Amino acid sequence: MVPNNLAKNFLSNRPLIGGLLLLLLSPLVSAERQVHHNGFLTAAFSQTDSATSYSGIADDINFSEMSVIGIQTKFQPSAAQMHFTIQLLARGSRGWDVDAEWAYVGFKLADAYEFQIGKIRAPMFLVSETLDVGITYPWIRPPVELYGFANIPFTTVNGMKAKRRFHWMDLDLQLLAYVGENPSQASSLNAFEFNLTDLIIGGVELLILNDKWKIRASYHDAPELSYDATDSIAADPNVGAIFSALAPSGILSFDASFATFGGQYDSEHWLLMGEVGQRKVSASGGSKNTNYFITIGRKLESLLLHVTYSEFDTDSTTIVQNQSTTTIGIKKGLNPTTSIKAELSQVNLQGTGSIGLYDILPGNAVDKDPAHILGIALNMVF
Amino acid sequence: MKLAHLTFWSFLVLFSGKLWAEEFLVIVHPDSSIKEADADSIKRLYLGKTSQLLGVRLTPADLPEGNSVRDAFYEKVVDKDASQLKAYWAQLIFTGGGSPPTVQNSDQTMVQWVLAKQNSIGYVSSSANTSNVKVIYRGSQ
Repeated sequence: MVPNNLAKNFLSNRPLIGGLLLLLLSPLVSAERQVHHNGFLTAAFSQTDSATSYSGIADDINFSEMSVIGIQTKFQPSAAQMHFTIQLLARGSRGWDVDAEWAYVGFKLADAYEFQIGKIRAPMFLVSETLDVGITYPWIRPPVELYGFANIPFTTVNGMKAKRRFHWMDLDLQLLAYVGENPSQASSLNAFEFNLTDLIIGGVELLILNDKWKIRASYHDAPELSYDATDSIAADPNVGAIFSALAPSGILSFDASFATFGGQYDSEHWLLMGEVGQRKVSASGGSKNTNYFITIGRKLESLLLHVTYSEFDTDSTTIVQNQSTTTIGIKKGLNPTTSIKAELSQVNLQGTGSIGLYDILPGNAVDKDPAHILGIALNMVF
Repeated sequence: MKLAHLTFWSFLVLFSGKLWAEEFLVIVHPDSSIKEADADSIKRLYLGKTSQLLGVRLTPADLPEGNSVRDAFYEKVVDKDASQLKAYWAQLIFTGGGSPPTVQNSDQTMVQWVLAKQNSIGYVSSSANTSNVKVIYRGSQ
């Protein structure tokens, strides 16, 4: 299974393989060329006290939904400013199939300019870049209200990024622009399974940071975005009934925009994080989601105690997902490369007929409200 | 009286932290045009925020993890402990933002590496033999 997927991923990234070959054959490649191998993993178990599955977490102990392992290789000819990076990722939630999460050629021009071309991370959120590297953030997984597929149903795009960096006073400023497309990616929303068949997206990001503070704003526009839910409709007439008003054929096309604003303060004793995102979908039956989280953490040596409140607020009447989650958690750094986490969340549905982010179709009742979720995780980088 | 002395020294050892400062020297190739550098410029280079120091492109090197001179250098110049530094590089490595400095195993190999590589920069303990390289910064924790 794994070799087949690897071969498929490599074959679907032929331009990148070409780029790698170009680097390998380049006269710039010398005996001093550098190859860096790094990896990360999250081994987690989770369980909810609700009989209704919640964002992949069920009432029996689940060891795979939030577990992930990744290996990254970066090849860089020492004399060149060009590098090739590939990150292979296996998620428990996707049956441990290995996928090339990133595969791009990067190029730096002096210190100020950087370009990436290939399969790149879509820079949608504050922690998008390290979305799968659990040791870099306090939670077992980032708040699903903002970071979940119910809000943004993809994490990578095939395209290019351009970064411009500035240094001013004791601040670093980074301006990023990107364009990309992401055809044919399987995704899910509540109990729907669908394919993201057509996506063209572009956006800009402004990041201002110093040693402790980070402030970020971004705007993204997707003039083309299509979901294909024909398989789900064929399998379940209830799905067809829900889609009948929006897209009788099962193919839903629209344009969308997404804007975020967030920040982080990370000092010796405190960790404060907050981010709000607003997604607008302009189509018949279109909707506006305003989702956010706020985290307050207190550090005691290698221990971090934190509380997070997150909310999903939509004006959609087709699928009402309004909910809030309060999470209390502990992160203990065992050493600089390993941490363990434990957290307990309470999910409250908000509004009449809301199914929140539970894995059920609209019109069905959630077993328990509020519901609780327990999670324990081990994070490592190597 | 002996008990009082013993108690005094015990408390001193237990609560004073380090009894002596760890001193270190930041070194470059003897032919480098850099004469001296400030801590902030060295910090930016060692955190991968720039590849240049005072307009000169340099490749930095570290001493191994757990080395007391390395810890002193990072706490004084970079203002990060080992754990914060690992988290910092984890973010950069897995965002394609860069790679940490290469590692030289000892003061002696660091000096040899800097001597052999004109566009290089390293740090060593103040007791290292630095007569053949140029010292551009002196620090102590």
